[in-house]
Amino acid sequence: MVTVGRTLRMLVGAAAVACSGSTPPNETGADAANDGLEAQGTPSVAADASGGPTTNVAPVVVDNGPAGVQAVNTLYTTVTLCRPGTTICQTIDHIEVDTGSAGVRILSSLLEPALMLPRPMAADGNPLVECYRYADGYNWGPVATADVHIGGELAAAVPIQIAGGAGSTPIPSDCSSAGTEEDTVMALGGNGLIGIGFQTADCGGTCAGANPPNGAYYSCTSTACMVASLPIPQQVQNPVGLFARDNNGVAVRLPAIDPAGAATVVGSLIFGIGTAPNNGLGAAQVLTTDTTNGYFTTTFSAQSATGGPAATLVGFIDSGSLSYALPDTSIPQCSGSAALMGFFCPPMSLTLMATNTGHNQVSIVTSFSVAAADGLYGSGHAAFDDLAITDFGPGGYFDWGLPFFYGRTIFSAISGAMTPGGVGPYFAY
Amino acid sequence: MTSLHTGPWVFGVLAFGLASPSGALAALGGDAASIAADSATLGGKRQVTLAAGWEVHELRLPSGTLVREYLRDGTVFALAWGGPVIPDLRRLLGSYFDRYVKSPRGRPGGHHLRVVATPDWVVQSAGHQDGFIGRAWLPTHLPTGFDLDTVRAW
Repeated sequence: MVTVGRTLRMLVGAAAVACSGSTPPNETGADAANDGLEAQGTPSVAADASGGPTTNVAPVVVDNGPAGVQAVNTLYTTVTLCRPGTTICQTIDHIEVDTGSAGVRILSSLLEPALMLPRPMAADGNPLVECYRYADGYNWGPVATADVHIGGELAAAVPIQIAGGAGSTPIPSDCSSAGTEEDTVMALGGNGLIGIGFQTADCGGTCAGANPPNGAYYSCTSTACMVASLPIPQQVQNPVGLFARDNNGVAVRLPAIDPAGAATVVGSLIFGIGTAPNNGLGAAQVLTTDTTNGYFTTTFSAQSATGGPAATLVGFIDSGSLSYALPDTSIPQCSGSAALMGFFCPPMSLTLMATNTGHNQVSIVTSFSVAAADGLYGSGHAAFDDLAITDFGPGGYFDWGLPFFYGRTIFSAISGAMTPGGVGPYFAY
Repeated sequence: MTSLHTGPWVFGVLAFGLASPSGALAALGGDAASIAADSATLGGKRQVTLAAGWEVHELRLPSGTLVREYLRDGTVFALAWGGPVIPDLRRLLGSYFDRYVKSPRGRPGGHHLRVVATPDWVVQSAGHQDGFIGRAWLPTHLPTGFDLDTVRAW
């Protein structure tokens, strides 16, 4: 249960208050009473003072999510937003951790009005509103500026999106035609989302040129919106790239779980690659990706359960996907439940193999498991390492979703960033 | 039965480029008449390819996204898209769009993959900013021998 508290604690000027950014993401509803506005004695995080090795770690959790969501394989963390340069802050838990996008998005309905985050304007002086498109829908809401604290790190004065906060301005049809509006907790599956993928900004050059076709940013009056060009630094930013340190990428570390699933899984989102004792690449192998999409190549024998020709697929690793997704017509699919259509339901669990190859020609032979989705969902658990769904045919995608993260440390390097494993973007595991 | 594994592109010997500066698109389940009548276009250049038993309409949108529609007897029974921006799904999915956006989320998917599969219609959408792909089809309207693997625009 998540209730972003309505208790305002405007303790501005009070003695140093430990930053609430350390609030565990798996807090109970009672604990969440702390989620109201609060003041911090210092914008930096208390843990910083210790100088310890854990100042670059945000706890993450896989659980059923905010009340009513009944999330599956959704990775959450806790973020503290502050009015820039002030100690007026709000901590919000159950923020989805997404390595497949860039930028912080918070649901407007959960923000304390008193937080009063400044809202930058479009070049023409009208309010600046964004349509951020996912494969399954979109967020629609204004851009705001906040100090983003997470896991002992700070991204100062970073543009974020306030999803659902555009008031009565009609959503442009070229935005709403992208799919489902995800500006509620139920639709989004969390209280917000933090995109920490390889991109530094959420749109980039596509939105920065003149008259960008289908751009993400709009200049809005109360009655209509027009696509607006927006320079990259003013776009919603991947906060990791703006940290003073540990800013070249992230690592997601989750423990291995039982094949039958787990009710709750607690892990770590570690900032930086090779910047601290706790984020070295170790034995992880680097798979470089293209700089536009962050894709590598996955070679997978469709019908590999029985042997068959290998297909070459577009591969990506994505904590924001709740299952593996792969084309395999030989594995029986679930029947009987509309909600499970497309998921695999093999009579016995399968262990399959695929090869991931980076643009650097490094290949990693990787095994993964597929179990019957109906049995997994029937367990009521939130975390599964063997949930898979069918997707596109030849030439399509192999999505290494959250099931792939259990029992691994997976690194994602930001585009153009220097790391001990080379220049990003890349994945490593 | 023809060797369909070669795909409609090899079969499309009657390809003729319309190169219309304002090609229009029909919606899934819509008919060819709606293509001609549809003046509200997505822009771009359209090309029509004839295959054995069906035809393929291809449109490159100004955003760079490619859309392909597959018609038999004048009805769109499948479509696919691929490119930097998701195309106008309200237009492409037509009467199925509302059902698509209202279908249960959270199970099949996550934000970078969405699969809605019903006996009558199927939509698959995947990817992220700058790299989206997707396809949709009507399982009960597929021509005999049609290979779904050919429904792609990537």
